[in-house]
Amino acid sequence: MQPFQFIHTSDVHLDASFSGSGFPSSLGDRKREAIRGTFRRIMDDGRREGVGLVLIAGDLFEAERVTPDTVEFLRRQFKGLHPARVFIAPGNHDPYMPGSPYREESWPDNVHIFKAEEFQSIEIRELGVRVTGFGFERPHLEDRFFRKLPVLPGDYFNIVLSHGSNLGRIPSGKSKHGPFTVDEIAGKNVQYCALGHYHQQQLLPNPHDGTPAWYPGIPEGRGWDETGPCGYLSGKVVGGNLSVENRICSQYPLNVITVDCGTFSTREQVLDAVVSRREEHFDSNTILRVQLVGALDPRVHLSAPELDERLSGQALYIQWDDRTHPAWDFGSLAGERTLRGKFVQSMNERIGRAAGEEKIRLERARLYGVQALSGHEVRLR
Amino acid sequence: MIFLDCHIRGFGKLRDCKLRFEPGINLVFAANEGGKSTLQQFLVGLLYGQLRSDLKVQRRMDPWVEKYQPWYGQEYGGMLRCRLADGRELEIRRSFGQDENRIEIRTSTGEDITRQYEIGRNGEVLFGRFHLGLPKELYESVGIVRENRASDIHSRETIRDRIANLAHSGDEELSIRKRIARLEEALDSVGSDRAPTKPYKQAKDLVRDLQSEQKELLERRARFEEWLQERNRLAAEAGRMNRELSRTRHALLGARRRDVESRIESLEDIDREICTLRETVESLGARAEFPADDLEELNQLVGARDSIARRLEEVRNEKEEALLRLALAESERRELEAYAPLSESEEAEKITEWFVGYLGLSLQTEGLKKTSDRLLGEARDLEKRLNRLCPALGEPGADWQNFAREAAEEEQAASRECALLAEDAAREGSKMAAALRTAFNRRFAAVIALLAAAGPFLWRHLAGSEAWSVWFDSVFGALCLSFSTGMWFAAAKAAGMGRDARRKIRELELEQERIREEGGRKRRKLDETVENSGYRGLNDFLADAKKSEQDRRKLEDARSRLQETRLGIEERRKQSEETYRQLKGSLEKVGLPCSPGNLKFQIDVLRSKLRKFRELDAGYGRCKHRVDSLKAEEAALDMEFGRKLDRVRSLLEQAEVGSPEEFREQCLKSRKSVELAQKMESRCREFKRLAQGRTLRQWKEALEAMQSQRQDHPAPETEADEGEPEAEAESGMPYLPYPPAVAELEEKERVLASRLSDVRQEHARSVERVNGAFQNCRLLSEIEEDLALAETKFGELERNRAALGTALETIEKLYRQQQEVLAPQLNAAVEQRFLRLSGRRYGEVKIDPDFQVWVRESETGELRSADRLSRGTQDQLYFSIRFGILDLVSDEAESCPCLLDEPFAAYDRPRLLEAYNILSGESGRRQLLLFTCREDLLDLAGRNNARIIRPDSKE
Repeated sequence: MQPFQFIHTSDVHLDASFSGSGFPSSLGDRKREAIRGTFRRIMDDGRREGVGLVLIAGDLFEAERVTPDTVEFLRRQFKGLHPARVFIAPGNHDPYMPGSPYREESWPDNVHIFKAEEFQSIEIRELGVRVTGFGFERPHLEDRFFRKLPVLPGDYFNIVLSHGSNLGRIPSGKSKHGPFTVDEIAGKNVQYCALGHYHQQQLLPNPHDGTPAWYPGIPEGRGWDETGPCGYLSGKVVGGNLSVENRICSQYPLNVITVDCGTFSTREQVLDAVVSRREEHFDSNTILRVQLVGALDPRVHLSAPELDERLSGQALYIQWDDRTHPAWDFGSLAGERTLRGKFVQSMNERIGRAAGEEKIRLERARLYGVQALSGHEVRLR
Repeated sequence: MIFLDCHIRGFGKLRDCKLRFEPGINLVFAANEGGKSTLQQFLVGLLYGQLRSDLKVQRRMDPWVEKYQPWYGQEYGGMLRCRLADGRELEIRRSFGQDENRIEIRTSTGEDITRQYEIGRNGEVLFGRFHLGLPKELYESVGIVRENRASDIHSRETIRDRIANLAHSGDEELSIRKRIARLEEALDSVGSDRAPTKPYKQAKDLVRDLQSEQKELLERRARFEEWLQERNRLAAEAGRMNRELSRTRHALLGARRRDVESRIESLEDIDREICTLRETVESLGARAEFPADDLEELNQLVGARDSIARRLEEVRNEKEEALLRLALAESERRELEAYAPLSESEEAEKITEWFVGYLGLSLQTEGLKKTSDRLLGEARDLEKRLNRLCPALGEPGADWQNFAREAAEEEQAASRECALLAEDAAREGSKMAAALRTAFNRRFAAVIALLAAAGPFLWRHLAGSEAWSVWFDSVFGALCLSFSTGMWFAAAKAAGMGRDARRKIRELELEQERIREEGGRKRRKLDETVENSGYRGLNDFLADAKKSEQDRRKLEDARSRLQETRLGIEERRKQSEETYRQLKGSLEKVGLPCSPGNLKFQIDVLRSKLRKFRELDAGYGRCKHRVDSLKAEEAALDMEFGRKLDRVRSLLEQAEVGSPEEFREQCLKSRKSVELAQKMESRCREFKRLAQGRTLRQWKEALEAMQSQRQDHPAPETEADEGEPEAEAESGMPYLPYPPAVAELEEKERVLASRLSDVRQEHARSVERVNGAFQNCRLLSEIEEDLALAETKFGELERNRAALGTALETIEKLYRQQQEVLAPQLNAAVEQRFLRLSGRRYGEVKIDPDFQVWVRESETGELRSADRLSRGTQDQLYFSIRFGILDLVSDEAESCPCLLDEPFAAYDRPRLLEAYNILSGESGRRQLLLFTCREDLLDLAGRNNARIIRPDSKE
């Protein structure tokens, strides 16, 4: 067996939409371009270091949004890796199905796509490696295919490539696709299990036989739960021994900071509180979400455009998440023997009975009414 | 609550200052900047603390805390002692400042009861609110009367609005109406579906546009996938066809080889055949220059010559027969020569016309004569019948029917007028009866009065009674006499009226008589005529009168028609004579006699002879024309025969032969030779066509080259079915029982090449379409991102709209409810103060739900609007309302101390006096702390034994 290197990445999500994160399309374009740039850097790393294998464990792109331009980009990147072999196991976002670029487009000779929902092995004699994997043929796959993983022959270095959910620990909000447990991999003579689907990098603990099973994580953060630097895995096999290294590659990381406005009585104090976190939490390339919490002095008007203007250039983009609540003592106001008191009393009763959207509406109605009845300006949230 | 005393340890400029208060009016006197406002704030601060009351969670200082930092010393705070309505005395101690917020509340016994009070969420002990029932903000609005508030009331709207503001918000300056308007403005700034320039509608439109764009892109993406599949299908199709074309080309090469082989064989055969033909032509020995082409003309000329000779003989025979028939026709025609002019002119047709006219006129004359006789008979009968009638009916022009109708109408008119007169007479009769009754009654009354006038005298003189005085008797008698006289005159007048009525009745009766007489005059004459004519009744007479009138009209008609008939007979007689004269002249021209008795026979003879002449004349013309035409044909045939004969001789001489038969024999030889030459030429052409410009040798060399090329390029393998039969691979045309020809294969190659070209073009177009599928389109991700933001924004706007709508609706509803509830309560609270303050000059106060204030004057009972009151009364009203509202919003059991900060700054002395009296009145209800710098007010308060407090002097 010759020594060789490989790259393991997944969940690139080329051409993804950031509508769920509340990005404007201008920022979305920039972020999509950054994802593409990050992927290009990963491929460049592979070329430069002369890797023998590139393992992509699903969700390379989002099938319903991928553009012909991106497909051409991938084709060129893969072709540029020659003679390195590229193995792709389609995932739930890019399943191998009619209309998919995997199926409809032609790919360079060095690319192998696992097309079926059954394990298939490809042997690379010159490296002494056997890559075994399967691909999704539909967006939702709940069958436990890892149970069908055969015991592989021990003549080659065995790598298993797949997109799937480790049922041992499912991150919150993550759907189950291609579910498996670590014991389904154990005892199958696997030397490296290259996984994809979970966006946080992690090595699955395997108490059975120590088979290393890795999620490389998302290379470029996509949502507010994917904050901080992201990257991919670089593996090296020398004399049958495996070493894995994490490589940071993200261009525009995301971060979230929380600012308690309870003690502030001016807008400047809010700005100062954000700026004071700059060194530690963000820089000019960060896409930042500022969560404003606490009871807000009614005199303070948080106008997002003005806050943005003051913090211009401090971060790539700042998203204001105003979760403050007005500091009126509505319980006390309800005791007044005035119209304002009666209004607050009436609204308090209605809010007590309401729930969900109705409650939010009534709370706003109470706030606007009190602002007006107190002689303040009516400031819409 | 009553403030008893306070100890200011440090608060602004005041330091270690002890002040004592009393119930009623306390006048805090100090010059400007003398510490009045500081003391006010100190008292409020002691009651309510230093933390902001509007923030329920945060511990934030009120703005004044910073402002009233002690000027001297470090201690910031003080003590206030007060007495409650229940008699308890409490002492409250507070320390102020950013780091200090201590509070102690003790009873008069020193017991610390701080923990007994409720504590706000911000940690503040709610002392003031607990005892006064007012939150801090409200106490500051209602419990403190700021400088000059009362002085600038100058219009009805101001009073009303201030009352409304105070009643609703506890703040004079805070208008609920304006606040509602502010909410409406906010709602308007959000917009609605009907406001295209406002954010709501714009956001909604943006969402709709983005959804539409997203939908279009998704549809395009679905089409894109179809295009991808189509592109791949076309690529596969092009590959398959390319392979098929290669196979076909290989087969074509084989076919061409076979074709060249067969071509070489054909060329060798043709070459041999050409040699044989050349030898046969040479053996025939035909004259090469013989005019064989003239054979056909010669045959035609010989045939035509013989035919013309036969026809010429026939024409000559026909001409002889025609000349004989012409002579016979000419002799017969000459016998009726006299009819020739008649035949050529139009007179022949006119003779018939005249004859028919003559017969018609004779018949008409006969008919008219018969009619005349019949009419003459009818006239005589009618004359006889009319002569038999009575003289009255015999009068021509007498219209008895009309006369009888007029008589009846006049009678009816007279009856109607008589009826009207009878009604008038009846009315006059009733008038007359009434007048006579009236006259009788009046006379009777006059007699009674006369008797009454004489009664007392008679009683005095007859009975000697002295019951009535003489004066009474005289007056009574005079009155009765005058009454009696009056009644006599009235009775006479009534009798006169009765007479007038009787006279009128008589006149009416005479008028009736006269009208009846005039109306019956015609009727009487008619009856008399009928009787004189011997008729029993009027109806018989009128029937005969009608019949005689009809007979008279018939007679006149018959006479008129008789005259017309006689004129017609005369006219037709003249026309008949003229026609006869014309007929006679025509018959004489052809020698025929004319007599009226047998005119028809003579006319028939003329017409038959004329017809015969015309037939003979026509036969003669035809014979003459036939002879002429035969003569012309004979001449023409004779000339044509000569021309043909000359031409035949010329052709024979030219061919150097003696007869047409010899000419024909030479022609046969010549033609055979030509046919063989043509066949040889055809084979040569065939050779040339097959050789295609090459020699036989060159073809053989090409064949050798093909064989070597085929060996060098074997047939391509098929893609899937390697077991394709060898023959099929060879031919490129499966399933054919024979090897396909070059043309077939060339056609197939052409078709395949063309289809391949089409498929490649289509594939290129498909590739182009796939590549440009999303040109000029935004990314789906971009649209989704913009849409998500737009939906969020629209959702917020929608939520804000709903929230503002809810707030508005609730406030307006509560506002109306509160107006209805507050107005009567305020009315009661104000009334009890104001009536007392005004010294019962007014008996009633009315505050309507719209907070318009009216007062009723006790003396006049008149209702006056507040804005029409004097300045002093308005002051009374204003303070009554302020204190009334304070009662309404504060704890009922605990009177709230009221702080008045220079309330009379702009008042002159008389008004000040009145205002002070008002406060004196209120001071019985609550403690008043009056802050001022006015000396006159100080004097006034001093004279009224008010407590005077000078904050700048320690007590």
